[in-house]
Amino acid sequence: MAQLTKSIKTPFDNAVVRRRQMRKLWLAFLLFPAMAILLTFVFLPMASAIWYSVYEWDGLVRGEFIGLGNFQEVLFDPRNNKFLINAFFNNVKVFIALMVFQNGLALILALFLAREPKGYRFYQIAFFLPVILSTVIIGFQWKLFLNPIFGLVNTLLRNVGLGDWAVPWLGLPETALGAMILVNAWHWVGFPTLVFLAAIHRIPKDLIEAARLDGASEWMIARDIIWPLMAPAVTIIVVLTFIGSFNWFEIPYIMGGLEGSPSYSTDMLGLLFYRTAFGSVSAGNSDFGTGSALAVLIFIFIFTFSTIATRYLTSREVELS
Amino acid sequence: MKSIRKIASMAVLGVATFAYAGTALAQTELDFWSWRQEDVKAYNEIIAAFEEQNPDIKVTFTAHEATSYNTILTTALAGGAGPDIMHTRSYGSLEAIAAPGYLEPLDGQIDLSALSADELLGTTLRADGHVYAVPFASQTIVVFYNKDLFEEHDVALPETWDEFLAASQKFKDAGVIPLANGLADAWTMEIMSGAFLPNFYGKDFFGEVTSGATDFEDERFVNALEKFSTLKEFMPQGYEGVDYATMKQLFNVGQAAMFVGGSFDIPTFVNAGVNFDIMPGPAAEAGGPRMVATWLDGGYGVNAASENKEAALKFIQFTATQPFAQMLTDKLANVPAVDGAEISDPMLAKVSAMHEEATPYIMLVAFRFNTPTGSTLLQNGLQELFTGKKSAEEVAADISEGIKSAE
Repeated sequence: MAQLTKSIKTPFDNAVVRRRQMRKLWLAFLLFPAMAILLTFVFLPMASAIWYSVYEWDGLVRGEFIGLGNFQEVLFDPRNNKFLINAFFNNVKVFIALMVFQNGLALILALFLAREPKGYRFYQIAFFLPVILSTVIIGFQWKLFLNPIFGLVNTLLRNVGLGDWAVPWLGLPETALGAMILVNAWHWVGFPTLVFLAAIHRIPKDLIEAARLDGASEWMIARDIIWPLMAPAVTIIVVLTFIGSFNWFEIPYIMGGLEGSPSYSTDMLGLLFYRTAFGSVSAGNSDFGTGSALAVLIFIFIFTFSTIATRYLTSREVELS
Repeated sequence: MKSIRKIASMAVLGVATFAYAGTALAQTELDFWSWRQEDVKAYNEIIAAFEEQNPDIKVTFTAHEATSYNTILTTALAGGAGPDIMHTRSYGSLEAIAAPGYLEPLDGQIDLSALSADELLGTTLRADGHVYAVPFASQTIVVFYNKDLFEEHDVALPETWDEFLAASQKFKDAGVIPLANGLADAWTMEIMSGAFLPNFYGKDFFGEVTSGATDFEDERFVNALEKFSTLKEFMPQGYEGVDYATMKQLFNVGQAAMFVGGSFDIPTFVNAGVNFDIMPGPAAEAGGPRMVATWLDGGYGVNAASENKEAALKFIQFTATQPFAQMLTDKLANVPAVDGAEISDPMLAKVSAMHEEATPYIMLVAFRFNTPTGSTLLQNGLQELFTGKKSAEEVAADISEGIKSAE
């Protein structure tokens, strides 16, 4: 402080310094709540998960330090790793299916909306509406729709003469995961649509007009002008879908239960983590050690791959000069 | 303002009570935790009866949210806190808190003579053989049937397996769903199996499989699974996707003639106004036993770190007596674990009478201690069996292998 006061020469300088100090104080003041929340609810739990994962646990009682023992148990013990492998590949299926169906549909919808068809404001809102609904509500609502006896879906199928298609969607290992993926796509499709649409709107109109004048077909415009120029939006959506797919929990939990019913066909890494760490009525008691090890592994996997994906996808983005 | 006034009045009341207690007699205060939120009123009445006999003890009953109760309790106990008295779960879940030493061993300290060995099994720690809680009530698996539908379609109550299949066929032919049960909630399949499997695998199997004399690949168990799986013909169309709520709905509205469930389902059907009755699962052959699978729901335990252990034990002793059991059944419609209570509710009396031929609900009672639990193995196996993914032999082999691999 002494030094600071010494350097102050004129009243004008004084005011500038004071303003700067005020600004710093303001910044600190405004950042503090966000930082505090981040620290308490993000970084601290993350650090404690790593901390927990290197100890032996007897229920909630911490035992001795066992280094990487829990990781070894999760990855190499055949009793655990068969669930891990099964859940992991289910997550992979979810990611691929969401990329193709949810984001593919979103792209088509965005291209459609970008042409501003009649009543496009209405469509825009209609596509986005499910996004604002709570996942829990959507899970329960679709569970009712897909009910094999009273459900809307099967009733409709029977009424239009497709009674053979009226299968118990959530009860068969072959259809349960697919049904949940479609529900998720229905819920979320509005979000990538909106992001894609915003990206398309950012493309200068004259560029497209010029192409059109030069005789480019709609397909060529979409492929050669719109698609490369909306790359930043694609990057965001791919990475978010990747993170979302590997953290997928709510829909499978509500519609298939903690054990990934039927026969683990809808088991996800998130469900496996929950069962391991907190236990369930039939799956037995909680094990914080292996649960934390699993959480750390999931985190490392998602972090690594989304970083690589972001780097790669960003590198192929083109700038309009 | 209102809250300030409230706090002030409470403070005044608190001081007054304290002063009163100080002059009259030193009262020991006991905290009592439970997951039974629906039973708060009844427990307060039961506690009042205890306090009348023991004016020097005051018990405060606190009910936590049921699904997170285990976590709340274990966290508190691990932190050196927790209540003086608590509702504990049974079997594997009891071990989770008894094994680390959070509970006071009760045998030798209180009289447990009004309880049978079978019931005490649920609150005994296998490692040291001590009893850590007084068992409170049992659950039983029964077959619910719609009396109106049986009458309307002129179906006689089945007593044997063959009669059961014939009755189911008759309902099916008449366009009534014979059995409301479905696969979507795996735990309901384990429940359903409890009504049928024991009568096929017989009385001795439980003892032999728990002692290691045999395993789940035993012919009796495979045969039981085989027979049980034929019931899928009589379950609702799309039974693979029928969940617990739908099952109950089908039975409630009279679309299904039978429903296999637990005694805990009785209030649901009473409230729904269904004209129903209950029966045990069918005997394998004419004249054979009709066993019902039962298990202990939980017990009352004492915190080993409690500062009021003497008073707490006094209360726990009270839970092991006939007057307590009587109140438990009268006020809470439970089948009490403690002997000697007169069960007034006719449906409950029927359940209790079925206990003459009781068999332990096998996976919960004996195989929910380690990972993977017998319950997850059986539930998943039954889903695979009923969707035709695996045969009875394969399912039995998976269960057997899983149980052997459990630590």
